[in-house]
Amino acid sequence: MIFPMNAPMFDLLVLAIAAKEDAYGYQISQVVKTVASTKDSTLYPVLKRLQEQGFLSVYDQPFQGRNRRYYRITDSGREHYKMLAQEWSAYKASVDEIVKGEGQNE
Amino acid sequence: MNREEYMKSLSRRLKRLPKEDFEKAMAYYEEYFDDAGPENEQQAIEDLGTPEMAADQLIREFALENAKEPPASVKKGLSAVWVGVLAVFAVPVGVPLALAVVVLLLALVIVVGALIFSVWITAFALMVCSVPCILLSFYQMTVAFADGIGTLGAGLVSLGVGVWVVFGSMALSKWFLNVVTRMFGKLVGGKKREK
Repeated sequence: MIFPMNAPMFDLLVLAIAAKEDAYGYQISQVVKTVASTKDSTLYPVLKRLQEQGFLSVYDQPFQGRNRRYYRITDSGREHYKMLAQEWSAYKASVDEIVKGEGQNE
Repeated sequence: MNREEYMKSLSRRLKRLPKEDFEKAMAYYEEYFDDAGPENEQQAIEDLGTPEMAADQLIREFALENAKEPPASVKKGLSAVWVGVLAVFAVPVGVPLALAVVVLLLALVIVVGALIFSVWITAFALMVCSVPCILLSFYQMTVAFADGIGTLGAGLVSLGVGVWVVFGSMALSKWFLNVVTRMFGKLVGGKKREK
């Protein structure tokens, strides 16, 4: 993707993934990777921040003799997710309007 | 580079973080490699980005967080300042000018820090001096009572002022560490985060 990612966009994607089902770090980075050109290391600070803001909670689950840390969305996380999703649709609609409008003029 | 080298390089760069945060971050990367599987080790290293970049991003995030709240203790404040210094060096900007700014700021921090340190030393000296003074006064009282009382008084004053200055310098240190941490936080880009 040539479009840059920013903090709210990362928050939105991660919360959207966690809203579907509890997810672990590697799993989240595999999904985020499909739209972001950033390196996977970027995700750890994002997860950490979302935890500190109370939008995600974590728990450990044994997997093949080791631990996996799962991220679960909290109630306030869901609210924040809803807010971000609305912001994103509004933004996307405005951008589309400009992009498609110009297309018709040609 | 292999997984082991990657983790070693990362740990070297993150070791200044508070212990708990350091361990959490390392565990995250260990888990990432485990989940990627040994057959995808090279791909994982490629996807993660360099350990330098990973560490820099994390340290910047810590500096921003530290800048938000005043330190609970002088020790925590010192650690926050240290992370702040690392974060400033981790900012990807044009080197010469940034370096000049950073060096200037560091000089300022060191000067004020030294002043506060001298207040600490003063308080300490006052308290240390008062001890023999008070002890001596009891002996002196048996020789010349009035002189002994006088010495005792001087010792107690010194102790009292010393304790008072200790509390003062504690508050001063916390305040200063907070200001410095915030300054570094802003330098690293705290403004962007505020909604």
